[in-house]
Amino acid sequence: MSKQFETRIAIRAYSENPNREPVGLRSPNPESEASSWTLAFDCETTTDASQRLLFGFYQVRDGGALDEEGIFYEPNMTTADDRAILHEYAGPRNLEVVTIDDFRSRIFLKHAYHRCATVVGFNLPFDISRIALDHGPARRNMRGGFSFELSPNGEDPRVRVKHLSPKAALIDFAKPGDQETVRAMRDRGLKIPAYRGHFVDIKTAAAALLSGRFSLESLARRLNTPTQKQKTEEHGTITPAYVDYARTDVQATWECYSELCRRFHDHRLERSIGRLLSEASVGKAYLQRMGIRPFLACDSAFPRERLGEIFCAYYGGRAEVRNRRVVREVSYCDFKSMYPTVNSLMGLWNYVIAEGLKVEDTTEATRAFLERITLENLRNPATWRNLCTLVRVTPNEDIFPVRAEYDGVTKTIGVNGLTANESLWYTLADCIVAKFLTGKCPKIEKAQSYRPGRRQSGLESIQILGKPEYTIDPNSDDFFARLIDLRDEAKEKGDPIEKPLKIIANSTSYGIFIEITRDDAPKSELLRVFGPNGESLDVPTKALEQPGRYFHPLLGVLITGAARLMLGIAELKTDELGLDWVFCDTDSLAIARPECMSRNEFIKRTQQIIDWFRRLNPYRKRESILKIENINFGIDSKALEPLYCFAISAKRNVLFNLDANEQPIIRKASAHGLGHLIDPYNELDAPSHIPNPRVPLAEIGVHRWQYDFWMEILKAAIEGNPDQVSIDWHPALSHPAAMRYTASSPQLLNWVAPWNKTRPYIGQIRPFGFLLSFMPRNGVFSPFKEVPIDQCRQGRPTKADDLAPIAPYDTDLQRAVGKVFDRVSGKSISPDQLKTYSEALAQYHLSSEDKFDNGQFLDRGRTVRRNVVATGLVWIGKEANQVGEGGVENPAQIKQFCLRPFSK
Amino acid sequence: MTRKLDAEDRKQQRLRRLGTQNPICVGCGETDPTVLEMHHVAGRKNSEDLSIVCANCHRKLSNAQRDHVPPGPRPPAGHLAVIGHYLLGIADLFALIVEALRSFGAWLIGEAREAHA
Repeated sequence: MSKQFETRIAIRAYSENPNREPVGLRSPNPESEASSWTLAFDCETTTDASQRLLFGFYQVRDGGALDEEGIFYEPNMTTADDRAILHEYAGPRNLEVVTIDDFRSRIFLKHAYHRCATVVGFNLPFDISRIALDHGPARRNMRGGFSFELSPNGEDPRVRVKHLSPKAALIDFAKPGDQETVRAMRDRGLKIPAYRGHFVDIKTAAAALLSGRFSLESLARRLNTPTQKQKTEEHGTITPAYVDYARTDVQATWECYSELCRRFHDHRLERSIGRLLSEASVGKAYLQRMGIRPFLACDSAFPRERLGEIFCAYYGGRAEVRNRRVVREVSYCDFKSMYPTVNSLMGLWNYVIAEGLKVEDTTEATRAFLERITLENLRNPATWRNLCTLVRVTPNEDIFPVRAEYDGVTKTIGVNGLTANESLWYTLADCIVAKFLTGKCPKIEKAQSYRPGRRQSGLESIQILGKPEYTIDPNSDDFFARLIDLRDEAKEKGDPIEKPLKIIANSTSYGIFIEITRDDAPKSELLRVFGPNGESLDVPTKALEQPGRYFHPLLGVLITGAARLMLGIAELKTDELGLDWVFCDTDSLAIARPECMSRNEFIKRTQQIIDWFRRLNPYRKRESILKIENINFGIDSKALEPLYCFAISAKRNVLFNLDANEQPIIRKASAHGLGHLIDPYNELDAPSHIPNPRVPLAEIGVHRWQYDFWMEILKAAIEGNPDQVSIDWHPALSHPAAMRYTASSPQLLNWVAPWNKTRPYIGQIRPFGFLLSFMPRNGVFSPFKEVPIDQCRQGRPTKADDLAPIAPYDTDLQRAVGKVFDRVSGKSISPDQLKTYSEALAQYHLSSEDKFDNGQFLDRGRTVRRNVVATGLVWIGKEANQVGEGGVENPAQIKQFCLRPFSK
Repeated sequence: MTRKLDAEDRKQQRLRRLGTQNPICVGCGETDPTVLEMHHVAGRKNSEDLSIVCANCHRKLSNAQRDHVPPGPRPPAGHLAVIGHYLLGIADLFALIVEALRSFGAWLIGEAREAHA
């Protein structure tokens, strides 16, 4: 182990708003039924920064039958010629043509509010913002979102939209000025709840039901709808072809909605499609369908201090690089359904369906268990049932997951040597890994084992998609194992139910148990934070956190701990058999061939590792839970083919074959650290000197320019110059590097306040409009400033102001560069102050792996675990959300609740 | 709202207030939302639980509810009284249903007789 690294370490603290019940304790909000009416609409906008409404199409349907179809337009943005084109198009097709005012009142509010229609669209927040008269910040439960005015009449309701993620937003009607309950009903003591409307963004519904991210084009293709999205030459100019394109969009939207509704209906869940926000919504709905009550609802009095103890043992999946910036031949293996597998092995389903938790002090028994446990014991599935235990250890050069600012800025988790004066909570699984890696048992101060309470009553069987052969009984089945068994069966039979089964398995096996929602309040509110020693603090903060409905921190902690143990075992077996590894990521490991070992021997030993895990298989299909991934085989053959790996840092790696000329054929590559940049060029404009990909880019997992970059990195590595990668392989890389983000909250929209200030509302950048951000040239990239010698000052130079360059969105990046300004000062920024793509990528191939030694920029080869000496403990909250697709961090950073230095 | 609502709008508003798209009178099976109302099963002072009934059945039920408290001093409010009112309210609903079943059964027999003749 390396020299000591003194730093504060961080733990996750459990927090609750003392004045608000956790959502798990509340019964789900009753849903009003939507009527048989549907309103689908879509807007076409200008292509300038403001993305103003030009015109749009709508369809009103009753029970699926088209009742009315028409065009709405913005009179202030269209010329007489434009309107003539719209009327000429509408006339022969019997379409209505209305102004945007008419659309808002006569179509939108009439149907969406008065007729309780379901409002359907693709990326609805953007479209609602386009048709709005005005906007402001939303309040109460939608705070952090926008409230849109759709009528000058104060009695009409506003529409509220709160962004949750790039794939989901909450949308509803605010309470209108008018009372919902009429006087006659009030006189009779009746109160009707405010009508909140029914909004279905098919982008959200598709992501939840089909898993993944879709454009309207890709969704229509995936669902094979009769109408497919058309292509158009130019946006923003009204032509008959463009009008036809817009009409087709609405028809495709409606068809996608119908098909998604059909698929959703097959699930027979007790909620509407509009309530689906993610795959987790599907998982939670299935748990609800079985009658499973959330942990916090079953045991509302469970001591929060104990939740604090549990939650601070939470560390996520393990992602590391062991052999850095060297080309190695590998076998790329991954665990079959890692989380359902460990859930099943530990018997965690019994905890999900239990009334609560029983806690026992098992300090002596756990110490004895840890003393005698061997790797061989862990081949016995029964051993895993003993791992539902958390231990308090005083680390003394023991290897544990440690969350710290290894680079001095960002908190990351590294499995490192740890020494601390005070004890910390970890899972027993982490202790076992520590023992195996160092050969000594960590010193256990206290151990607490958790047992499930009695089983909840009234649990009911479910049939997945209503098929009797896919029945799961929560009382007698291990839900997690049964799901994977059913999926294996479906795969063998070629039954398409396999995909929904995968989504249900993914969505119920981990994330919902550790779900914390963040609520950014406008003013500080008290948050009660629970630490590792049963203590609590009341902290005033704007970054409030609330546990999700099925929050069960013990499960989240145990699942990830057991998954780290699985990876730890694979790592140990690799070392034991004289092999090496390049990187691991949550459930996968790239096992490396030592240079002195023959390929056949390597394959044989890899197979031995795989076979070791065979006995741990909890499923009916007899196979090992560790599997060789398909990319180990040839592109067009079923024979193993030498696979190579080049890993830079955690999650930044590429897997490839070599052709007869020793040229790389990329099979899988990472877009980590690249995905936030807008593509500098597209596939049609790819450089001719870089060979085209041999497998589809979607399979590789990157865009064309990212593929080209990896090819350049590999070329340099194979030629023996991994430090010197070409970053000018395409002329577009000399342009300023741009990132796209969406003005999805009032806080983010405020970034463009200097731009909006001087413009009328119609010309302003509105909520959910797209924006561009750029990277300022700083450090060695900053432009050289010539300072006249007679103006030189003595003393410390003043700190250069950090620029925050942003620009209104423009599809032409070169045009956008001319409009860049500093979002803090509002002053314009010239292009020479912005980093180019080449400059932004300049150090990517050297990305450091700070959590380990030998992980600095120019270091290569094996990384070495650090020996962390903890000087203090920081309690932190949920990590900051990322803004849109970009890597720009939300202004509200990770909340640091408390810092407690350790005694010396 | 100042906007003029058409028949379909009014129907949908009514359905929204009834809390369902498929309302039905639990007493007689009436489905026209324009004549359907919400009835406090145990009386509005005792419980907020509601059932959907038509205006005719509502009048009958409300009339029956007036006799739930026998003459004499009012019983003190409490769980027992609420449960009592609830049970009497449900009994009134059952009485309506029994009445509807009787007349429906008699009608079916009449229909069968006519068809045979």
